[in-house]
Amino acid sequence: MAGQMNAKFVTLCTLAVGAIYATGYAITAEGHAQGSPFSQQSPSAAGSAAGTGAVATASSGTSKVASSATKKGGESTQGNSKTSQSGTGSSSGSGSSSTSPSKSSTSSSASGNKSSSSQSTAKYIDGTYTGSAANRIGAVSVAVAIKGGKIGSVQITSCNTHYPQSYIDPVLPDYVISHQSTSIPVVSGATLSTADFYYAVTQALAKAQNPSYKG
Amino acid sequence: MAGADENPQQVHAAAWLALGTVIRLQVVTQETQRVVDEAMEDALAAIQSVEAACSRFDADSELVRLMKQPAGQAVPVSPILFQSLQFALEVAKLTEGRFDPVVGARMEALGFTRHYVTQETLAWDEEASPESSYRDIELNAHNQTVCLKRALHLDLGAVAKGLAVDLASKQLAAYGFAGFVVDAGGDVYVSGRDLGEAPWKVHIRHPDNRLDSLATLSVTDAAVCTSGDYERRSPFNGELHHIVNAQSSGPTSIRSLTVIAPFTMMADAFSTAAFTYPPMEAVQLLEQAGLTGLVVTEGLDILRTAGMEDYLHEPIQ
Repeated sequence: MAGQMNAKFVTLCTLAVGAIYATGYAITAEGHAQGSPFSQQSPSAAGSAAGTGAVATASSGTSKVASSATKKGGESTQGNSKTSQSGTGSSSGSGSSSTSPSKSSTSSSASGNKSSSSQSTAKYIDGTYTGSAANRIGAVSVAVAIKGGKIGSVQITSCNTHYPQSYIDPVLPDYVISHQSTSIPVVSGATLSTADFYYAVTQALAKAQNPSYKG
Repeated sequence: MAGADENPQQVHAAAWLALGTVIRLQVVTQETQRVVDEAMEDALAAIQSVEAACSRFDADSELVRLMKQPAGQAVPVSPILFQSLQFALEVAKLTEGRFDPVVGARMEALGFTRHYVTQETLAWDEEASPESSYRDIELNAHNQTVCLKRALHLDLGAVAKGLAVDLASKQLAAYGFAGFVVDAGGDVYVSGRDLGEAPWKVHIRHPDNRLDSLATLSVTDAAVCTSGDYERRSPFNGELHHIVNAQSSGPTSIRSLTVIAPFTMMADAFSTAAFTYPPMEAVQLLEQAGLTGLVVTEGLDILRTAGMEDYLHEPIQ
């Protein structure tokens, strides 16, 4: 009985993940199929999403990986008004050479080129904007990537918490740096809230505002 | 590319805001930063696709557009939305409606209405029908359509977050890393080995203290999800949190409930569903479903399903 029920739900999950993966995460949209970012691992993805011309690539702006992204302790809240993606993640010292953010791999030529259309009346202007704020957990910074006039991704670029070392819920990426790449705790049961990043995001979005946006 | 022997394994980590929560990825590998970046982009893209399909806060999401269609009409939807709904309906049937994706109106009444980035709220032309339930949703698997038989508000939170983690995990798995973690607001999938080449240690947060861990699990190639009463209190009524028993309105007597499962979608949905039962029945539901987990009661007693010992990294005090 238990085995059967488990098998049923495991099968449902297997089929669900498989079906979605095979279709390349296409989202049904009004008017035109808005292909969402797809992966090269899924060959059929190119077929379903690329044809539409609306391949929203989360590719170029979003990945900003962190283990080498150092931020100083007393970071200034003003900062750079419009840093490019590569600006925030300059690798410090060890190992990894900083790489260009654009995807250099196979698949679609769409990835990497940013402006698919001019956004003269969009709410936000395309680019990557940073924001910082102090809150109950410490000082946080985010990088908000605007694509096609909309929020494409919000990355947490730094978070200096004032919690003790024993704090079980580290905010990446600082933990990696401060603990010299030892293992990073994993915690089940949310403890961080998006509210902890709200002011930093608001600051970034203020910089992204399109002055000619009406509405 | 440097040979495998010269390059020590490293842990790479990054975090984003998506799906109304904090997304954290960890990868353990000898591969270059460039490869890891690319893999993480793929994983994040999968998560963002689920958000674009299933968010109930975003006016452009497929879910919101579905809810704005006239009742009684069969609407074609994406595989993400279809599969999320199908899974939610199966769990709703199993729990006879204690778990019900049609709780949107109740969630809104409790004040869970704002988008996590923009803080904007959505306006609805039509009130959800108070008697609406999962029985008003009709799926057609052949045509991949959804028909809502009356005006209703859907919340796929307990399924979509898990599905997003599973899809992101599938993306990362394709790279053959030694190990990785996908964590969406405490809904966690761990794969392979950690930097010490051991199974991953997953802490369960203590219901009373967010800085403390209640227990530590040693687990790999599995999902661990915990539902707690500490999460997202209602802004209107501090006694009420965001896990709603669709059939009553009082607080529950479980403090927190953890499920280990082969898929995050399963762990997420069952930790949410079981949370609506009294503690002993919650344990029974998990055991019936062949799942492993533990339940923390109001008195901070810990009830365990059969097989839970196998996952405990150290005995619980």
